[in-house]
Formats: sequence, C-alpha cells, structure tokens
Amino acid sequence: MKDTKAGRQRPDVVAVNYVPKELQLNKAKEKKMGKIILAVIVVALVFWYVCMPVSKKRFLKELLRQVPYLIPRYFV
Amino acid sequence: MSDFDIIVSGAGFGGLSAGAQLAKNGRKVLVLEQAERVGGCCSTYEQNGFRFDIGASIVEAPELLNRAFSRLGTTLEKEVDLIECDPIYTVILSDGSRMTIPKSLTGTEEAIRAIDPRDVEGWRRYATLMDNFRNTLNDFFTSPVVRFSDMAKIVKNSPAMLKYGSLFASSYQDVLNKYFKNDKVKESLAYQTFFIGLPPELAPGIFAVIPFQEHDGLYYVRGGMIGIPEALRRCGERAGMEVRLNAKVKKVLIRKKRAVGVELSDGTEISSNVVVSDINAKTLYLDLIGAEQLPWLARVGVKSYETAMAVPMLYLGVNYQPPLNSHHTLVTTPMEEMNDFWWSDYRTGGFTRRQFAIISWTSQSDPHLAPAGKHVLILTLPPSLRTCGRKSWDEAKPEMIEKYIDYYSKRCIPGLKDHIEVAELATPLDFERRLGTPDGAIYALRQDMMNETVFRPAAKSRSIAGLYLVGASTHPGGGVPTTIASGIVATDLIERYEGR
Repeated sequence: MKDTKAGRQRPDVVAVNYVPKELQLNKAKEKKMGKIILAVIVVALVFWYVCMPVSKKRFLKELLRQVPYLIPRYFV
Repeated sequence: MSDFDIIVSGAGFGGLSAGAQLAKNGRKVLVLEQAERVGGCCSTYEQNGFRFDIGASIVEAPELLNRAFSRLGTTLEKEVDLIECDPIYTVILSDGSRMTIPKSLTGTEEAIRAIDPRDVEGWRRYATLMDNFRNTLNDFFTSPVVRFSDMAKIVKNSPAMLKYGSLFASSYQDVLNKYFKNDKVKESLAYQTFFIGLPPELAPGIFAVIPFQEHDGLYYVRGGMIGIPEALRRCGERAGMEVRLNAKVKKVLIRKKRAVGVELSDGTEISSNVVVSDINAKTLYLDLIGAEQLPWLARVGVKSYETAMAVPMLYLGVNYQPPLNSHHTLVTTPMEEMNDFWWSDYRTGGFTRRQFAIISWTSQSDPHLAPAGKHVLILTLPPSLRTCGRKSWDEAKPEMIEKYIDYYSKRCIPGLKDHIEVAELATPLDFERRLGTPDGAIYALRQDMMNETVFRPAAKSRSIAGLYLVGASTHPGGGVPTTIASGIVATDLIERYEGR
C-alpha cells in the first residue's frame, strides 16, 4: 500500500489468480493425466496401424490420400 | 428463342434415357452422337457375319431398366427381348477346377459345399445380409445426390441403411474375409470387384452386394446389347426426340455462366435452354467447356478425379462350338494376386501372368449372332493403362492378340487357336478415341467412397447453370442399370429446376 496525496491507494500488484497449493497440485496432475491419455491413444493408434494387414493399410491410405480433394469435389 | 429445349450430347444409356423421358414430358429434344450408332459403351457391331458387343455383355437389376421404360409409357418386356442366363456363371479357378453358379441361392450353396462345406453357413449369412442391405437401397439409385441434404433425405427415407455403415467403411475384401474361409470360394466371388474398376482390397464393401444381386438374374439381349439403347431411342423418337448420328460436339457454349447450346466439330452452332452431357465429366469440364469457365475450387475438384480402370476386349469369331458350359465364364486368379496385379502389372502394362477375364459366349444364348455353326466369344481382359508396357497399344496390338489367344487356348478353351475366323482387339486407346473417355475407362471415374454420391460430379452442375450430367461419371456410377438410372435422376432435376 502507498500513501499519496490522494490518500490510500490499492496496491500496484494484486494477486488475482491466487490458487491454493492443493488445487495447483491437482491441476498439475490433471495435465499429466491428459498427456498420458494422449500418449496412450497415440500408441494405441500406432499399434493398431502397425498390426493392420497390408490390404487394410492400403485401403485406408487410398481414402486418406483423397481427403484433401473432398471439398473441391463438392463444387463440381 | 432456342433451337431446342434440350440438347443431349452423347447417345449412351444415360443420354438416351434422359432424352426419351424429357421428350415424353413434352420437351423438344435433340440427341447428338459422334459415332455411327447409339449405345456408347453398350453397343453392337458386325464383322464378317459375326455380331460383337463393344462393351457390356450382361444386364442385371432389370427392375431399374424397367423403371425407365415405365416412365416412357411402356415396359422393358415389350421393348427388349431379354434372354435369362442360368447358370449365371461358370468359374474357372486358378487351380483349373470349375464351379458352376446357378441362379438359385440353394444351388449356389451346393456349389460352395462341393468346394468347402465350412463356407455354406457363411454363404447363408452373407446372402441374408446382402438381401437386407439391398432392400434399403431402393431409392438410392434414382434419387438426386447434389447436396448433403439430398443424402440426408435418402437416409431419412431409408434409415435402415445406417445399420450397414460397416459396409461403407470396409473393403470388398474385408466382407469376403468375414463370411468365407476358403480361398477358392473367395476367389470365385472376388472378380466382380473389377466391374467397378478396383481390386478387392480397395473397392468399398458395399459393392460386395454384386455377387448376391446377380442371383436376381443375369440377362442378355437377343440380337446384341445394342437392343437396349435402340429401344430407348425408339421410345424417344415416338415422343418426338430427334437423334443425329456422326455429330460430334466440339464445345458446350457458355454465356454468363449458363450453358446455351453446343458447337459441333463442323462449326455448326445449335442453341438450347438446357444441355445434358453424357460425356465423361473430365472431358466435359476441361475440354468441351474449358477450365477457365469454372470457379477455382471446382477446377481443382475436376482435375483431382482419377479414371477407373480400362479393359482391353478381344472379339473372336470362331468356326467351332467352344468347349464352355455357360454364357458367362469367369476365369479367375486368387484374390491376393488380383490385388498384386493392381499395384504392379497394371501399372507397368504389357501381358500379365496373372490373367483373369470374363468370357462371354453370346452366341450360346442367341445363335443368330454368328453364321450357322459358328460362334462369338468376347473376352474382357485384365485391365490396362492406355499404353501397353513401353509400347503404344496400336503398336502392340497384333502381338497381344496372339498372346491372349494362345493363353486362353491353353488355359480354358481348348482348340480356340485353330478355329479363329475373326480376331479383333479393342484397346484402352481405341476406347478413348471412340468414346472420348479419358484413358479409355468405360466406368469413367473411380468408384470408391471418395468419388461417390456428393463427391462425384453432380447431375446438376454446381458451376454452370442449365448443364446436367448423365452417364458413368455422375451418380450413381458406371454399369448398365446405373447409367440408365442417371437419366432418371437428370430428368427429375430438369423438371424441377428448368421451367418451360
């Protein structure tokens, strides 16, 4: 707090984002969990793709290869 | 004041079907065809007394054809003399064994039992699934699919279709693998994937309905396949439709983003309120109209389309009775080899050791197609690009005729080599020249899920007003009944959007 001619003023810096320590810990945990879930999904997808028979991979690749053209094709 | 209400460019199934219906509805219609006869890919020509079908040699799903004829105030039965083919196929498998597939489902069950009794149950489950699935498709082929909302309407009218979502998301091969264990049984059912221009591993699972649907009946037309387009022409002409042959359309005339007529190759201009194109959509937009007339997104879209596979066809006139069992014989190769063919030999071209074909013995059903005691055989050969290996097809043709005759003589038609009177090969290059379809692909554009329904060129052009598309390159795709259905779709759209 500062004393000025205008009287007492509010502090220059106010801790508006104060979060109790326990909650901060929870948030960090949540972030970590999120990353783990994401990693599990990515690993599962990679595993699924690697285990996929070649013919299925080709089927999927052929479809994905054409995805960028779907919007232009809708205008023909 | 325009010369005609409607100009139809191309007298294929789609063009004639639309032209005849619109004439019947009171429109003044002119159909222009570059060839000397109607029919496009489904036509018949004569050489030394033998009558050969140029492309299609099978009619299936006659109820779709009948729908078009009933709109013309007649019936398919009255206009076309159809001969039923039963057995529907004889299959010559890669190990040399033969399977005769009759029309009846129980008869087919017995044929499968003879190969592997384990697959009988699979066949029953497959047949039940496909029967139910097919019943959900009633209006799919004749409904316009221009916008997503059209798709939504189809699903709304037939919500049971949603139950079969997995067929849309899987491949033809996945479906066969799910229901059948024996490789020979799978081999006998896999060939049909080439009817839509893709190998089993890339063709969408929905097309696995084809081998089932064939049990509704496969037909041939007495006098040759040209009988159907001729019948459509006759019905159209009765209603006032005019057909001009040997009239090649060079340009579709566009004014203020609207199709206003056509220019012929001799320079004649003919005006109309509406233009219906039965020409491959890529040729139409890029050559006859010009890419500069299209919005940039449409330009990217048109250029992105890939053509379906083209097939060389061998027309043989023989002076003996070929040792075959039925009108249609499928000469097959294992499913995996069909896939390998697509990724290797198809791209490099030339003669492949993985030969597979349909042999249509048309004179078995109609002996009048050949002089007495002689016969007609038409071989639909493994697909090819527009070149034959390093050679052009024109250059390679004589050598390839020899090779094909030699191979099929040895593999399945003994004596063929010594009894040939006429041998003519139509190559992808010939089809490209005759039909104006890029790469000679008679199924026009690929038919996977990324090229179907709203992603296929729309029946009502989204870029040019007054322009409508029919034929294999628009919904519902290539094939005899489907291209006729495209004429129904275009007719309904024109009646809805184009006033008189």
